[in-house]
Amino acid sequence: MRFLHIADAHLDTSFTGRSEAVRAQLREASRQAFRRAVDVAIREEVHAVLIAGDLFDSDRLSFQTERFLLDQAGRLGDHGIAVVYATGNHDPGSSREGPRKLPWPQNVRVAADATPRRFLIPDHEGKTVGHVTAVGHADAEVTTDLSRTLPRPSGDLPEVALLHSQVRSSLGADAHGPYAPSDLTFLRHAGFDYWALGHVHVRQQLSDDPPIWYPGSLQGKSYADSGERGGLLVDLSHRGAPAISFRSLAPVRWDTVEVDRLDGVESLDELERAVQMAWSARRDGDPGGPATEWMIRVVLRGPCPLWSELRSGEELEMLGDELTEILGALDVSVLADGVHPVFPLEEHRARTDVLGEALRLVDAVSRGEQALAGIDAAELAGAPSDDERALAAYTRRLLSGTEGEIAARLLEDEGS
Amino acid sequence: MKIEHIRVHGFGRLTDFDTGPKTLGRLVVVLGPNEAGKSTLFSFLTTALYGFSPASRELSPYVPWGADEAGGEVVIRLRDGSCASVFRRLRSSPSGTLSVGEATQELRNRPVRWVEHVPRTVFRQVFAITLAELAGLDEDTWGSIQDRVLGSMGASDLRSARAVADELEKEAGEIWRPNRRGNQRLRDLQSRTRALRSRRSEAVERDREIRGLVEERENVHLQLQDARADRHRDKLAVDRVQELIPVKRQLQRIEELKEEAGDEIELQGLPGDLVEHRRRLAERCRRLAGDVDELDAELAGPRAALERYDEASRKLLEHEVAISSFLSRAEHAKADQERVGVLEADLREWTAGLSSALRQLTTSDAATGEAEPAGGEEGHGIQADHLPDLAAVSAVSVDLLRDRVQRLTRVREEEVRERAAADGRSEAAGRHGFPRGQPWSAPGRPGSMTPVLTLVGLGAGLLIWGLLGGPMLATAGGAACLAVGVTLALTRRPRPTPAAVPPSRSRSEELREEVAAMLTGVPVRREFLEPPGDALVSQLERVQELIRARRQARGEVELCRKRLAGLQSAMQELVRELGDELSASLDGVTANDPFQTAAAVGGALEDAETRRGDAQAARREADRLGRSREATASELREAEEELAALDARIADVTGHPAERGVHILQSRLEAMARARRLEEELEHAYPDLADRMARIRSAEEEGATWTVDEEDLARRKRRIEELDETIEALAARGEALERDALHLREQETVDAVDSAVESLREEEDQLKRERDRKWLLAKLVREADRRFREEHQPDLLRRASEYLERLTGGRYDRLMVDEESDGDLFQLMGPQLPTPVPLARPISTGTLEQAYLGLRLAIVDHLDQSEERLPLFMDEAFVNWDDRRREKGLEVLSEVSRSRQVFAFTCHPEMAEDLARRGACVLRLGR
Repeated sequence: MRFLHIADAHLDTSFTGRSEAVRAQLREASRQAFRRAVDVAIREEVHAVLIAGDLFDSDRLSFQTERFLLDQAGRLGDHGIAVVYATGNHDPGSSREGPRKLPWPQNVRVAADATPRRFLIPDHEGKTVGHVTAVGHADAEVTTDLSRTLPRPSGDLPEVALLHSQVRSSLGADAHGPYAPSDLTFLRHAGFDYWALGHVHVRQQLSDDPPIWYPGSLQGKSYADSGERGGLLVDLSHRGAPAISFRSLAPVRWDTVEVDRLDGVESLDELERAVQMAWSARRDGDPGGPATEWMIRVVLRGPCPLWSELRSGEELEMLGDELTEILGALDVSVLADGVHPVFPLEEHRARTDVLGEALRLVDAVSRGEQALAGIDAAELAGAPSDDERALAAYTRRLLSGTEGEIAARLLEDEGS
Repeated sequence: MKIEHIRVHGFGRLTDFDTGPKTLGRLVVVLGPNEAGKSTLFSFLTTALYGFSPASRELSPYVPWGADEAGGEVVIRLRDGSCASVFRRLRSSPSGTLSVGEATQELRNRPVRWVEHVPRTVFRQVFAITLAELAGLDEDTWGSIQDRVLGSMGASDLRSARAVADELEKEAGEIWRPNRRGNQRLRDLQSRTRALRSRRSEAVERDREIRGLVEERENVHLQLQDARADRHRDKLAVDRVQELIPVKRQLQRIEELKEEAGDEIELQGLPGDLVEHRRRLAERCRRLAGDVDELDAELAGPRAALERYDEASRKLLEHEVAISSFLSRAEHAKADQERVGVLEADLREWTAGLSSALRQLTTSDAATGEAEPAGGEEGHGIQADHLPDLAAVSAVSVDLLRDRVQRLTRVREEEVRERAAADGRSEAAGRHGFPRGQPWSAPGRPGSMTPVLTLVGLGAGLLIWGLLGGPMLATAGGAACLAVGVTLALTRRPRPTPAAVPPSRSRSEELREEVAAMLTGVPVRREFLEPPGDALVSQLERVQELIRARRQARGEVELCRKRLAGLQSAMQELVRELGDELSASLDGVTANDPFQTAAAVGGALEDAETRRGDAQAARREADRLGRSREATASELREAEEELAALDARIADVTGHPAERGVHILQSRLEAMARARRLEEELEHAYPDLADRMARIRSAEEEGATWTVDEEDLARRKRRIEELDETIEALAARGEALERDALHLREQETVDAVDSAVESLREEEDQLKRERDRKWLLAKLVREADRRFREEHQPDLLRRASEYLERLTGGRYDRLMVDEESDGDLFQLMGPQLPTPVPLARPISTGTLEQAYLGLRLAIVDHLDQSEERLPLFMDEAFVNWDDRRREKGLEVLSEVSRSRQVFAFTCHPEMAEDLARRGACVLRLGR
């Protein structure tokens, strides 16, 4: 059995971006990634496309995207390719605009609740080549381990499990809600030839035998989703030797480049060149596809003669626009919080005055050795919670790297 | 710094005020009733040091009534002993000068440099101590003082930590404040987010609306399809009646005709006029057969001519060259025969002439010319016994002989003349001369002429053999040998040798002998030799010519006779070769007569050539006629085949013999032609025929009937009109729905709004972090400042405690700061107190004032401890104090004035007196 395993397409999801045009392009990128997935499935003549949940965000599914989705499913049907779709927490079966309501074509099978369903996967001549057992999320906050509801398979043909689940030990699981949590050890011994998972957006292989995979999200959504995004082409024709290869599908990639050697940068041109060089160095070995669009975040740090210009939001916007042009990116945003004037920080830290005291204090707070007294969550705009430790962590995070700004503000000459 | 002189030109209520020539001391009492101008004087001194504030004449309260300007001058003594004069004036704008020694500097409205270490606000707040302020120190002033006194200790490059913290808090507050007061960027963002949420609801509603519109549009589409189907059916029915039936009928007729015509394939390729076509084809066959017969008859003539040109003719013509050669030779032989006759007559004549000439020349008698020579060339026609040696005659060179004869003639004439001259003396000489009558003979040498004669004989033999039929080479070789032999004979002719001539002989004798020698073998008559002369030469020349002519004629006769003999043998050979072929022609010809034979053979050859020419012409004609016949015959075959094929097809298609079947087929062809004509007419009449036919087929498929029902027709027409209206309305509705849906689809979608919200949220989060960072930084700076002050405050407090102890007479000896306190900052400690007490009520006012005075004096000391010490102004500071406290206060004041000039303002003369007693100078102000 050959199939394409994708997950977390999040069609019609919301994207952040500096302009509506960029956001619109990002939204279109999700659709384009899905279209490419369908293209790959047709080109590779797979028997099935497995969608491990979060195909769309139920409350956002627009009429246009709905039509798009049905069209693409129809394309797969035209080529005799089955689609098995297990719902996730973003597209649960019970939702009003959920997958159950859509007029799917005949080739689409949906597992939209906690009842496991076993589907035969035929080849293009109608002969069964494998089975897919799928279970879906009925609602948005499933907290039970759905993997344990799947019956143990038997038979000579390849058996695949399809599920939207947070495997506790997976990389990046913390960034996602603990929905339908599952245990890797159980999955390993559940008797399936392949686990097609969704939910965690980082592509990863949790197990080699049997293969247990998250394909990652189909299209990155934010700077946290760096790296290539796409689906997994799986060939279980030989049950003992599965062949799994990644297919990059996302038209837009997100990445962050940090530039911290700015003490010799005297002009905006030099700064742009420094960013350009840092970006080129970062792309060595991972240049992306020829048509890849880039969402780039440039983080500037350290001493820089241009620090006062870089404190201006307007200047940063303009720099972002110019870098967008120079780097040929879809968009570039620039963060310069960590930029400060060029001065001997260590000497200042040793001073016997308020500046020295403040620098030593911020070091101690950043390292967690001391805490600022009298911090009330109510006085903070973005306090995560009243929890003391969370507050302390928030404080540490905000004050970390502010030595330059403290010195800049306290020093007469530098702060002017 | 000490102010030594004050001169006020006009400043508030002070006008033309002057402290006089005496310099002011370190402790100055300004005594005056209330409203006398004590505060004005303080303001003037502050203005003198710091400049006007406000700097506008309109806004300044110190421009006197009725005056255009305010201003004055102070003279100050600096701690280094130098003196400086400061002049200030406020007109339309403030101006000022600072003079130190000879140097004058424009100040405009800037402070003098010796007060820059203390800001104007701090100067006014700390260095001017009023009764009201003495009991406390407001928080801001205290903070500011601490910044100045503690924060900048040892670090003049730092800004006030408090100011920095304030600035950070202010920036943080602009983003967000917990109390929601003022403009906040975060609130703006949040309100934008709320607005977007509203737009999201609209987008959700819009999406729902799109779905509704699309659903409705699909319903409309279905209705439209139904209506169109109904209309289509009705239109078909109407069309059937109005448009399709005529066509249908016509089509039916066409079908009938096509049915009558039968299978169209059977008629394919047949001409429309089949009967006529077949008739013409048969007629053509007949005509072509006649043509072939005629051509065969024409061919008989050429064939007979060809037969006449038989084998005998061809054989004769094969030997045409040989026969022609024979005929040509016969013709030449005829000429030769005639030539021989002529030559023989000439020979006879020339022989007679030669005999005569010889007789005249020589001594022997010449024979008659009638006699035939017995043998030898030279003797031909001449009697042999009389024949001189003709060869010897011919051998004499006539030219040489003529030369010698002429020379002899000349010599003899010369000798005659000599003898005549020497007649007498030559008689003796005559005896020794050449004897007369001596026979002409010359001794020869017979051996030397033998080879020559042999060569001549050989040449003559060869020549004769060649002329008589021998090879041409023999003729040429003979002629050559003969010519060489004659030439040698002439050149080797014996000459009289000198030894043979007696020395006494004369020249003539010698020449005579030489002539005689030349004529050796020729018996020349004496008369031609006595003496030899021209007659001899002429006669000899004539004889030689006749000899040559005879010889030539005899050669020619021999040649002719030889050719005649050759002709005879050629004739025999020809007759032997072509005897059979010539038998008819030679019939009647004398045998061996070459000339008759030649005439007969020539005629036969001519006949053969004629037959051959006829045969060639006949062959060309026969070829032409043959080709023509072949073409005609081929044409005939094709026509016959075509006719046969046609008849076979007719029989095959009709099942009848061709003669009958052709009429059946002709009838079918005409039916087909009529069907096609009708089709053409139909197409011409109905350009939309294909459409009509399709509609007819469609109607037939639907089982339509082709009868006309007028009532049904009218009903259907009405319904079509109604359906047209319905369809139009539905289509319009569908378009409107489509347009509306399209319009809505172009509007903002939920995901777009959510993306915008998400972006705002991200911006909000970022702003929150920025705000909190600033706020935390402010916190941190304040904390650092507090920690630093905690570490370094004791020095200030120690000094304040010293003043406090002296002012309170030891009751309190320590002033402390309680940073943890929410309320009162300072605490007092004394020997009598177990624990520090807050510097606040219920402590008495006097104690509070003493404590703050001590604190202020310590602060003042700190503020300018390393700079110019600025004057201190006390305004009724001790007025509420009891005597004991006042005494202590004045003591401290007096002590302070030792290091810093003190101005004490009071309206109490006793206070002035007390101070005067302590060395103060008194300035009096009146109302």
